[in-house]
Formats: sequence, structure tokens, C-alpha cells
Amino acid sequence: MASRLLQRKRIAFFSVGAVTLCVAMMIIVKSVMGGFVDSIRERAHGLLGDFVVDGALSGFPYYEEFIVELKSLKDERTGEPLVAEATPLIHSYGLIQFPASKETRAVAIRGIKLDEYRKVNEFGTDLFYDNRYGDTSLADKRGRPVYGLNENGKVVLPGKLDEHFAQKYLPSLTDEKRDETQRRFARSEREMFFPGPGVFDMSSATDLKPGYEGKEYPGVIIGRDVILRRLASGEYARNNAYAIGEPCFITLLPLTRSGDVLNEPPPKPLFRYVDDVRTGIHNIDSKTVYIDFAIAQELLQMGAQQRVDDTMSSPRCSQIQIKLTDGFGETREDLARLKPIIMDAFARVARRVPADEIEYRQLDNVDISTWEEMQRSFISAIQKEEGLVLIMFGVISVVAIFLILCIFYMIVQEKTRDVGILKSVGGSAEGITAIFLVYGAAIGLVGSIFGTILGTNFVTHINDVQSFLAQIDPGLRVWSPETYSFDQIPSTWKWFDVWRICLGAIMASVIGAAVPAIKAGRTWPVESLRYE
Amino acid sequence: MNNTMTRAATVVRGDGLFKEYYLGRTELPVLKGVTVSIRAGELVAITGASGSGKSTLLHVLSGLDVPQRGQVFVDDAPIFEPEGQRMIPRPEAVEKALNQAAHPPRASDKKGSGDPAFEARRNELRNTRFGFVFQFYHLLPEFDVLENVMMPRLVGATTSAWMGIRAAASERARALLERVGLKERMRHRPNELSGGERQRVSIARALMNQPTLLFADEPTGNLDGKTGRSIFDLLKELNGDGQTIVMVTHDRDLAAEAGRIIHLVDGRVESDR
Repeated sequence: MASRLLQRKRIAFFSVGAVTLCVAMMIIVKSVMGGFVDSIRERAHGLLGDFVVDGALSGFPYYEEFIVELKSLKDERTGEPLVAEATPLIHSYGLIQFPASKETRAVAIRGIKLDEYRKVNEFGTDLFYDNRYGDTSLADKRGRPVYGLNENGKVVLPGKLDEHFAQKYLPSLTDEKRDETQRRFARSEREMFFPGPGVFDMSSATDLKPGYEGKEYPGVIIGRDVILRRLASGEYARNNAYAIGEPCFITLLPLTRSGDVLNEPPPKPLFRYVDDVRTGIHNIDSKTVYIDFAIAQELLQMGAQQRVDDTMSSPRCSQIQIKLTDGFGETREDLARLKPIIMDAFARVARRVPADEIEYRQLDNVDISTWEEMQRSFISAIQKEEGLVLIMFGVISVVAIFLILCIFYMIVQEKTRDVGILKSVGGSAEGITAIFLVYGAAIGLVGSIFGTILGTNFVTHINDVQSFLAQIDPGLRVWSPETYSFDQIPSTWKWFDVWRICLGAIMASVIGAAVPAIKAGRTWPVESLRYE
Repeated sequence: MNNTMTRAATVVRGDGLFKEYYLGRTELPVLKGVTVSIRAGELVAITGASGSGKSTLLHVLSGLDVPQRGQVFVDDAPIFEPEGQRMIPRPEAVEKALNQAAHPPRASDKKGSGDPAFEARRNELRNTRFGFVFQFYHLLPEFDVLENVMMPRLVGATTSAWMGIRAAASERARALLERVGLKERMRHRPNELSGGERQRVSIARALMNQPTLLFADEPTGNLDGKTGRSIFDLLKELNGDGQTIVMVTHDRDLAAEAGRIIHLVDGRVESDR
């Protein structure tokens, strides 16, 4: 009866339109914001492993003993090892200087064990040259890679770089991308320039042999935003950047065990730029360089040192990142459960080791945190943003409810006489109220279905929409990869969110319809019939 | 005839009915202590000048409206809650102040439809015992003639029972439409009918649940003389078949043909003969 009584009301279509737009808007905003927050959390997790043992800048000792202890930890129930990998890091600050351009920048320096570090977090997933050519190493001293010709006269890179490119990198690409890459990197005979790592040794053009040239230095991986300019498209301009193998000075700032600055001049060794990395967080990528852990430890004088009583102090590191075995620490609750176990292990080591007074203080300064606690300020800022969006949602929902309420008031007003007629033939207040409530729910349902179709399609194609708008006018590009950490607008939506939004919309429609519906039900029949 | 009526049972009785309308702060008394009884089989015409309270009396007697004071009895049972009764009690001081007023308002007058038990009874009465014919027909424009006539039966049933009763209701509605001469128009919408035809539809609707009492509020007031006459003839014919009818009219000629005339002047019964 509700549909028959109210089907011809054109204004009802406006209600459906309002609900459709509200639902679509909420799906779009929730999906994009939720996707953004999820991506940020993923990146933060990917950056730190599961647990972080963090000391002061002067570091903390006996980390090796602690790592051994960590690796011996077993789960009480299954007996499985808890820790898959744990790696020490050194944090420091310094300057990077390229002699060729005299460009100097202040940077955060991280000493890492590259192989272990890649296992603990997702550092390796966006190492530009390593992914394509392999063979990136921080500890090995190498010259600059130089192209040469093989016995067939074909231009080749030294070592196994070409092999890695052909056998590992190309197969990892999609068909379309692989064709394009192969075309770009196709080398004709004796071609002297193409986009790839290394340079040609032009001085001996008659006898070109692939190899590493120049003095050998240890490697440095540089945050991509330190040396490359990011384009509006999200890609990096590599054409005018430093070539791989470019030497650079890194000036470090060693501290004493007590945390004082050394009186001697800071070390300024040469490194070679072997790769660049992108973690996805601009603040890190624009300010950080990575060198080998052992080299950093030596340069920063964090190795074993002789005490006054001729015994040797323990070498130090600034941080340990811990990756748990798969299946552990996947939820916040599980991490909270495991944290005391890690802390106990640390306390056991601290009690056992022959630490001197300074070392005890350093051990005392150590904090053990989950990846989430470590990035609390960063994540909480985004969560606050999410909260802000939720408040906006609330306001939008209230607006939607009021909109429906207004429209229903108008419908009820228009249907006053019909309400009177139905009551005069015995219609009950509940029956009349139910007619309008069912109608409200139907408007909510239909609006939700249309809104879901519109919203999910828009979210799925949001990047296409943006590209289309940017084609019309570049100023219409709202998502700038230079500003945000991600190249594209998050474009995934979750059924759970969609359900919740639809349910909310239907409830809002029913609530919006409820007041006028109850009013209609409670009216005396004659009130509705008296005025014609 | 009078002797027959005296013996007949009272169908509805209004006892000391007071009704006021409020126009802003101005009180407009419409009924000032009306007491009437309607007996089975009567054709009663309520007459009076405009504003004398005749339509209001019909609305109150049929439970479409509520009097501030007085009571209406159907089968000797009241259809309105006792005066002053409220579902949500007022503070004592407020209650006392209101009870001292000249006309303590009935709770249901101002707030909603009042006590649910009484409202349920009134709904049932309007659905099964009373039928209504209005001056402006009051048909639902979204439904066709047949559906309009079936409406009282459908409204009285639960949604789940609709399918079961629909066929029987349709059969009864068709028979009624045949009786009022609209068999050929049953699939038309009300806006496709003339005034007289619409009024016939509304009479058929009023008869759908075989009511004890038919209330007709100016049934010929919106029709030309000839059509009005035919509608009145139809009502008379129904009365001849035993249908009790209470009709408000200010057409003296038609009223003169009714078995009983209640004449109101300024909210009071001036004559009842």
C-alpha cells in the first residue's frame, strides 16, 4: 500500500537522489581516507619490522648477545621460534657531498646490514637498481660499473647485472610493461648511450671491456628524494641525475660512549652511490642515506673500545629491528602479548653481561616498542585526521537525515487528506505510521543501491577520473604524488564499509521519516479531512 | 413508524457533548452540551445554519473527532477515555489547575489520539460498524474505483491476510458497485469520474463492511440538484433496506424527507422530531 499510495510523488525521487548522493559521497570519502590510512600503516609497519629496540644516539652495548637470545626464544604453545630475524642498526647524522657538483646536504645516516635489513622490513622492495640488475652491496668496495662489448660485439654490463635484468627483472613485469621495457633497453651494436646503470669508458673506445673502473669505495644507498626530482606524474626524473657509481663524501659525527662529540675532526670518507631507495614516506626518503653497519660502527667509533682497566667494552648499535615468525604478532593484541617476552629476554641479557657503569646506563635507556608504538605520533596524526573525517561523516549524516525529514514532512503534508481517509475507514495509527516508515526504508534502500553503484564505481575509477580532469586542465589534478606518499589515490573499497554506510543510510531514512510518520499516525481523522 | 423507532435499540448515543475550537487564543465553542441518541433503522437528518455545529456533531458521534467534555456511547460502551485522563501523568499542581478550569480539556484533544485502548475501539468501529460518506467524496486518487471500495476491508486486515481476503473483498466490492450503477467504471481512477459517480463510489465504500450506521456529511452538498437528488434517493433506498443513516444537510427539502430531523442552533439542539 505504501508504494501505491506514494509512488507518484515526484518529490520522493528527490529523496532517493539525496540518499544516493550521500551514500556515494560517504563511500568515496571513507574508501579514499581509509585506503590512505591503511597504506600509511602498512608503510610504517614495512619500515620497522614488528618490534624495535631503541637506544639513545650513543647506542647501547651487548646487542649481539641480545640478538642471540632473541633467536632462541620459542613460543610456549607450539615450540616454534618466535623471531624470524633481528638486525642491528646505527643511527647518526651527517653530510653527504658530491664532489662533481659540490652539492652538500644534511642527512640522517643509517648503518644497516643490508641482507638482514631486507628480511626484517620491506626496504628491498623499492631499491631501484637492485631490483633491475641485482648485486647492490654496501660493504663490498667497488669501482664504477662501465659498459663494454662482449665477444659478439654486443654492449654489456659487468658481472651478472645483465643476467639479473634478463632472467629476474623482465619476467617479473606484466607483458605490456615487459615489451615496453625491452624496447627501451634494446641495445644495438656499439651503441654508446642508453638508459641503464653505468657509463662507457670513452678513453679506450677501440677496446671496450665491461668492468668496474676507478677507485673502489664502499656503497651508499641514498633516499630517492635526496638526489632525484619527482615529477607531477609521480615518476622520478633520472635523466640529469647522478650516474650510478658516482663517488660522494659522507661526513659523520662520532660520539663518545658518554655521548660527547669527539674533539678530533669528523671522518669524511668516500662512498659510491650504488642504489637509491623509496620507502614511500617523503620525510625519510628526502633525508636518509644508508651505509654498511660495520663501516658505520667503525667510523662512528661504536666498536669495541679499551676501558681504563684494559678490558674491552662491547660494540654498540642504536637500534635493533625484530621480525617475528609468520603467524605471530599479526594483531595488536598478539604484539602486546609478545612484548613482555621480548622485554624479559632483554632484561635477562642485561643482568648477565659484564657491563660497566656507562654501559649499564646505556642499557637502561633502551626502549622496546611495537612498530605501532614507535610510529605513534605519525599514526595518531593520521588517526586524528580519520576522526575529523568521522565528524564530517556525522555532520553529513545529520544533514541527510534532516533532508529526508524535510522531504517527508512535505510528503506527509501533501498526503494529509489521504491519511484522514485511511483513518476514517478504520486505519490505525500504527498502520499509517508503518506506511510512511516502510516508504522511508524503501527510499533508503533504493538510494543505497544506487549510491553503492555510483560510489564504488567512482572509487574504482577515481584515478582515471583524475587523469581525465588533468587532461582538461592540469590544475584540476587534486592528488599530487609530490605531496603525498603514494603515486595514486587509494582506489579500493571494502564491503564492510559499504554495508555499514548503506545500513546507516537506511536507518537515517527511517529516522528521517519517523517524526512525520508518527505525526501522521497520531492525527485525528477530522484534522486531516476538515480542510479541502 | 414512530412506535417502531421507539422500540428499536439505540446504536449510538452522545451525552452532554461540548466541543470548542481554538483559534489562536480565542475559544470558539461549537457544541454546547448536545445529547442525542440514534436508533437502529433511522434516517436522521442533522440540520442547522453554517457554524451551528452539525458536522462537528457528526464527527464526534462517529469518533472522527473528540469532544472536550461529554461522552459517546456505542452499544452502551464509551468510545472516548474519561475526561482528564492522561497516559503520562501531569504534575499534581498542573492537574489541579486544569481541573479547576471551566472546561477541563480531555487529554486526547491536544496530544495525539489519546488512550490506545479507546483508539483501537474507535478504529474498529470506523472499520466495521460505521460507514462514511463525505461532501468531497474523499477517494484515494492513486487507487482505482474497485480498490477504493475494497479499502475498508483491506485496511482492517493484516498485510499477511490480504491475499486470503482479497478475492472475497473484490467480489463484494463488485456487487456494491453494481448496486450503485458503476459496474462499468470499476477500473477507472476517481479523477476520471463525475461528482455524482464519485459520491456513489464513496457510498459503495461506506457499505463495504456492512456497517450498522452510515454517517453522511453533506453528501449532496457538492453536487447539482439532479445528481444530489439521485444520491439522496440511493441513501433512502438503503435506509428502506434497514440501513441506519445519519446525514448532515442544509437542504431543507431533502431533510424533510428524513424520518427524523435534529435541528441545531448555536451548538445546541433546538428541535428533535
